[in-house]
Parts: sequence; structure tokens; C-alpha cells
Amino acid sequence: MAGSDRDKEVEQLLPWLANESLEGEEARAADVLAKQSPAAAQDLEFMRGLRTQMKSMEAGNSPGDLGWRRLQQQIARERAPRMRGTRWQNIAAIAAAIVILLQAGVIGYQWTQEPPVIIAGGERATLQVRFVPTASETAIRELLQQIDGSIVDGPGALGVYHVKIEDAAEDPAAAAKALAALRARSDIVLQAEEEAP
Amino acid sequence: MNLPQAAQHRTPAAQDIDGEALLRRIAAGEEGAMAEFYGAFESPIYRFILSRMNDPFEAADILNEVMLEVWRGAGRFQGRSTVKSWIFGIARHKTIDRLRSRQRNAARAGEEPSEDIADEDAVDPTEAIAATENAEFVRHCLDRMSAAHREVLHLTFFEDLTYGQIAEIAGCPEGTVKTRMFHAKRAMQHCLAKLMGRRE
Repeated sequence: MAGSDRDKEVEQLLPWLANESLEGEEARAADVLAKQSPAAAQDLEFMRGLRTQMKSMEAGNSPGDLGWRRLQQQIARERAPRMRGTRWQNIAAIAAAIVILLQAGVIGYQWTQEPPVIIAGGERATLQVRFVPTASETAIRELLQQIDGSIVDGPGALGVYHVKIEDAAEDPAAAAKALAALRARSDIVLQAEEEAP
Repeated sequence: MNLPQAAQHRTPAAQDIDGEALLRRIAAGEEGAMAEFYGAFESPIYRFILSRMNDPFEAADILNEVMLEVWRGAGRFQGRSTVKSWIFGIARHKTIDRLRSRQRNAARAGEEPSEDIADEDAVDPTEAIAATENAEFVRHCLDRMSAAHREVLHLTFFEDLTYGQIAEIAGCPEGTVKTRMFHAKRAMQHCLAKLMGRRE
């Protein structure tokens, strides 16, 4: 198409002349090339046609409000430990003040404290799920939202998705509840099993 | 809480918002700012991810990961790039991670990774131009392209980004973007011309 090195350089700018993002000298040079070279003109026409077609193509529905609600839940979960921490810190401060008073001999008995409850964390249950082929994307998203699950992998060759249950770290029964909820929706779920550890 | 009005008209919102101001408010923990940011960028980011993944569920999951990262890391935005380039860059990294994981799984399952369309043969430009009017042909060819080629075509012709912005997102030199576009365009022309030839 283009002969000189300069023309080749300018030729590479044609896609951005087609999307109207070139400015200044580059835009002028690309425009001149497209006017002088029939091959460059055809190239430009092709890319403009492609751009028009790509812009008109349906990309499918984005998660929209459902996606926002899912994000909101995660944000709330991330904030919760911080808030719990603050509450416990306040309680701990009050307890410490009482201990000091006790130690001052105001009351003469021993104060014992129960060991702190340790919440098992860091582990997240994963389920293996196959969806009914005709189930709509929206229905699947709503169901995942309901069980607070997110797809972390898949689909595999057999159409199996791996779904992580977000609450499982804090609620040991969350995975079982999610599994029951999935199995109850036979209109959407073909099969749901807990993934072997 | 429902999405703010911006979410109902996402495309203009992404261009009109003051992204840096929003990120500052998000970094301060303002959930309303996050809602506004989500409304502005949710749709273009989802489309971008989908252009590489071809799977709406995975695209929705990656979008969620991207937005969660914005919530967690808004304070890390340094202003070295535009907010748009920054968030598209995050989306790109996450998508590539997922594609790698998928390829590992495919390798374990014995599946062949998809191959890009060969672009070495000369094509009749008029055939390729005519074929761009056929949405099915264009979609078919996009689906058969490598993720890298789909990405550069999407960012150029759908998002109308400059080659400089695309280089920022891809984390590569501008020359690489131009070369990638050259090959993507050739592959698309080749594929479309072939489909036209079959129809005749």
C-alpha cells in the first residue's frame, strides 16, 4: 500500500483516523494519505464500516442493578469486621477500666474472663454446579446473588461451574444452605455438589 | 439502595463524570461515590471483559472483582493515567488472569486452545468492505480471533480510545498497539473476505 517509511508510519494511524481520535499533525497526515492512496482509502473505508458494525452489535446485558447489589453486599461484609472490631475495642477499654478499679481493691474477689471465641476464617466453600442449558443469564445471576455465591471457575468440558460461597468463612452452615437453595431450583440447576477439599 | 440515575444512562456518564474526584470520595469510604462510579463504568468495563472472555457469567464475575478492587484501592490511584485507562487496565489484568486459569483447565481437560485466524494471504478489499455490513460475519470473525486482537479492535472501534490510551491499558509501547492493530485488521479482512467468498 504505502511506499516510503513515512507513509507506512502514517498508514498505521488509519484505524485512529477511523475512530476520530487522531489530532493535529497526525490527523492531517493520515487524511492526506487516505486522499492520495486508493489502497489507504479502501483501508479506511473498511475500518469505518467495521467500527459502525461493532458499535451496533448487541453486547448482551451487563449485570446492572444485580451486580451493584452483589458489590454492596461485599462492601458491607468488608466494613463489618472493622465495625465489630471497633465495638469490641470499646468494650475491651471499658473492661480494662473495670479491671483497674478491681485491682485497686474496691471489690475483693477475683475476676475471670472467658476465653475469646475464635471464628474459623479464611476458608471458603466451593460448590460444583451445572445449570439447565435453557436457564436465563438473569435467573442464574439472581440465584447466585441469593446464595451469595460467585463463579470462580468454569465452565469445564461438562459445563460445570465452580461457585464460591462468600459467607462460608463466617458461617459454617452457609455452604449447606446454599446447596439446599440450589437444589431447590431444579428449573435453573441441573446438579449441585459440594467440592471435595 | 438502587443505582443512581447515572447508572440508567451509562455510556455518557463514563465520559462526563469527574473520575478523579469520585476516586477520592471512594477512598474516603463513601459508598454513594462507589455507586456513581459503578453506574458510569459498569457497562463499558463489562463489554470490554466480554470482548475477551466470550462468557457472560465470567465477565460478570470479573467485573465484580474489578469494582471491588476499585473500592479497596481507590486511594492508590496516582493520576499518572486517566481514570478510564486505569480501570480498563485493572479489568485487563483480571481478565488475563482468568484466561490463564481457563487455559490451564483446558490443558488439563485435553482441550485445544483456540487459534487465531491466519492473516498471511492477500484479500480482496472490496469484499472485506462489503462484508462489514453483515453483523453475523463480523461477530463470527471476532469470535474466532485471539483475545489480544479482539481487545485492540474493541478498544479502538467500540470505545474509540486513542492508541496512547490503549498502550496505557495494555502496558505496552504504542508501537506494539499499532502492530497488533495491523495484524488484527488483516485477520479480520481475511476472515470476512473468506466468508463472502463462501456465500458467492
